[in-house]
Amino acid sequence: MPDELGGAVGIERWELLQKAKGDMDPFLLDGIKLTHGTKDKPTIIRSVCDTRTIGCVCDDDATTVRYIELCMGETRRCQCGHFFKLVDADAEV
Amino acid sequence: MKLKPDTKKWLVNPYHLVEYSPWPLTGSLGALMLTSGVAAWFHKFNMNLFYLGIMLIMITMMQWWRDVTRESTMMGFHTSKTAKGLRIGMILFIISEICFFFAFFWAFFHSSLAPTIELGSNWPPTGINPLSPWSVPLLNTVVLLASGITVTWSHHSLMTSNYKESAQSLMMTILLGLYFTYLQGCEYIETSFSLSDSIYGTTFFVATGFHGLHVIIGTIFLFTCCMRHLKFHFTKTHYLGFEAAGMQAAAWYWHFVDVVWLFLFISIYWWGS
Amino acid sequence: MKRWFMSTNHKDIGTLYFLFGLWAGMIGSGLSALIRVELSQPGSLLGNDQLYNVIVTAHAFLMIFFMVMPVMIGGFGNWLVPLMLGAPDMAFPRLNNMSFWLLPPALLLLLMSSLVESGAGTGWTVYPPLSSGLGHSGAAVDLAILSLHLAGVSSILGAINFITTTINMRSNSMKMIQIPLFIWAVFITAILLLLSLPVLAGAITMLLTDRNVNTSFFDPAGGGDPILYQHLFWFFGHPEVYILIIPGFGMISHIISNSSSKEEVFGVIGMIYAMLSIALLGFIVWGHHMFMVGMDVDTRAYFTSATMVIAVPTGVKVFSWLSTMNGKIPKLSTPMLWTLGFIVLFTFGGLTGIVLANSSIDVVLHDTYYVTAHFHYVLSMGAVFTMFAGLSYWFPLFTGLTLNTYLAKAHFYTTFIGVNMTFFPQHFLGLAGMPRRYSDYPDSLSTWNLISSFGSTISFVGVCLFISLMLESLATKRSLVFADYTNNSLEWTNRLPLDFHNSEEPLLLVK
Repeated sequence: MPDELGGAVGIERWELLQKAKGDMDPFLLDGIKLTHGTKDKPTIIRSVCDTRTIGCVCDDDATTVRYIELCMGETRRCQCGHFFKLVDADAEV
Repeated sequence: MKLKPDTKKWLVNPYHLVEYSPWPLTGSLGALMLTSGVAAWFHKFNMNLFYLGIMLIMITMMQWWRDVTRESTMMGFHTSKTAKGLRIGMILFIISEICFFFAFFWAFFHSSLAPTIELGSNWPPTGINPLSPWSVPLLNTVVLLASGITVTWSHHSLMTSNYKESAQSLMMTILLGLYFTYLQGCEYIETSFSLSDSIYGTTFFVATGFHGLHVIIGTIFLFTCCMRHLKFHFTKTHYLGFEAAGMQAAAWYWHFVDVVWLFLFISIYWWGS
Repeated sequence: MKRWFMSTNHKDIGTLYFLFGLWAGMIGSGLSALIRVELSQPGSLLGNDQLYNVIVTAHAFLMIFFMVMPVMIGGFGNWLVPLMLGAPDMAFPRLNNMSFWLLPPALLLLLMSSLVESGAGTGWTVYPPLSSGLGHSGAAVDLAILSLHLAGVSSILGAINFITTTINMRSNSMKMIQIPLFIWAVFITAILLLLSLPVLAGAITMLLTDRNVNTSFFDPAGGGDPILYQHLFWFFGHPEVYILIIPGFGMISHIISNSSSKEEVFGVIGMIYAMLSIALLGFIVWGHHMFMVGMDVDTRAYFTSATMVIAVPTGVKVFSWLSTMNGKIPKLSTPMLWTLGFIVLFTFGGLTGIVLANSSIDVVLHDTYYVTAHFHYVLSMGAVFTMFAGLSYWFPLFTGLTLNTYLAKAHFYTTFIGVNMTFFPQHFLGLAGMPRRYSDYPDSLSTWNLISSFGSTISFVGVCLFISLMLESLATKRSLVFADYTNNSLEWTNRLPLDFHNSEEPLLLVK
């Protein structure tokens, strides 16, 4: 019987390979953990486009998600006080 | 959302964005032909439109699910999220089927708990000779329970990469399913009462009839899974592999069919005799 | 061609649903106009009571199954649910398309049913024995039943799609309580559809076999019982009316919070629980449609009480909406006008519902115009007002164009006056004892009937204004430059007009 990797193609294969490499969340479905989020050390968000929308779940029992559109290179602040910065996907930060 | 000019990275989302497909349209057209065919059958005594509708729906189903197989096994579009979505969808579909059978069980109990005077205030109604639940119906119960065991066996063999046992037990399940259908068919011929014999015949044949239809559908589903398995479409199903989602769906459907039979046996065959 | 017939894109399919619902709504409105013309004066206009009954039946089927449900769930649901979740599309895009394409055949079958023999003059409830072979021989009722089968399959498949999308297609960090209220509303509606429609399918299949293949489900001569049909039908029928209004509740929550410049509605968790309780309770009150069939007194007492309990979560919602508006002078924009109208008139309709919930007074009011007035208040003013509110609010998102404010407000005021003038007098008619589904009435009831019919002509003018509103916007093409929204409305944050697949990169949630 084919093993799971042998029989897989396309994006399914990419997911299996990523998981085999140890990255259990290749699609970033778990989201990103908020780091310091201050003006000097904003939480870094990576993107391959010029802009990216992110959703800030400000605290654990929030009943709404605040969406912010980030532009490349800029630092923006959410209402809860967190700062975010959009950087290029391959850039060193 | 402009992409940068020299982007090499894959923009991945785990969901399957399906391409244009004509099958919903042909399916709807087939449904139209099927339903107006039913009306034509009942009022013009002509079954041609009905048959045409059935054929179009069959073709649509084959082509649609062929496309799904191609997209999943051969093109790899089904990530774990997509497979999870398909599982949720199958469970929801089965829940809706349970509600459908609920209506027929309601009708059965409504009629049998307080039998009317026209029936002789009896259940079974005066004059009706019900089938003995302990002959063929009991055999049918055993057959379906055994098939439930073989299908679970097949699924577990699949999960432990046992190709041969998986295929064999799946084939056994299909044979048991066909045997059930054959036995029910014989029973239908053997009954002394028909569909038009009071509410007893009505509830008996409509409830067991819809059940039988679902057994046939389930058998075809299992048969398709068997064919795919023999062609090595399936892989292991622990958290790394996803391709036996189709097999899982067929197994769930088969268990659903089995459970409905148990309810039918206990209510209509046993309690109702 | 491919894009519109073989689509797998939620926005395109949503647009198809809107257009379909609009068209069916026009037919439904036309039929309602015919009813009111017949009833504007004592005496007979159409000359044929079977025809009158066919019109009444078709009006109900069209409005419920081919206007409200496609527009709210198919139109708004399909457009907004993936956008608000940040998903690129629905969970099963192809199935989504089939859900839509099953509706034109269903509509065709319904229209055919009115054209063969003498049509299905049974009322939308299709009770036997009037609808069985004895009362309606011929194919009309069969075609109506088959039409419902197709519409039912369409909705069940759609429900599966919406539930799976809501459960599966969001970031793992987005907990259920963080899902926007409109998506909760559609999710709950989908669960109601999934559980209740198969029971309708069973009931009408039983009717079909009773009519054609000699079964005796509802035929006493064979030991059957027509009341069984009523039980099965209303077990579906009551959740159905919640299906018609709950998506509207979701839309109103969004519009009120945005128009009041609030991030969210007052008491979001309370709103979610309220919708869940309404949905759950909706399954155990079906008997209040059957108070006159001879059920046991204790059974009637139970259904009375259970029905009145539903007012509690509904009240929670209404008060929460009012609390959301607290602190801001109402911004009387078009969506807000519709919303304010909705809150007042839906509440009023709900109160007449409480009156009808009492089995004792229902003895007098069952099958009178009081019932008609009640459900038209909650539907024609509840559901329809939410649809217009949602349409005027989200029209710029769907088309990238804006509506002419003056025309939109004129449409609101005309419709408001029209529907109130049509349905308020019907309370008096019901209390005076005028029965439903009758083409004529005693002369003493003519005043209120005349006023009601006059109101329907004003509503007709409203419909004309609506059509001109749509055409004006599409012809003048005032593009939207930017939209006024709060930062938790994901559907607006994309670049307008929207990309085909929403956004390039998937939505990222930061916790």
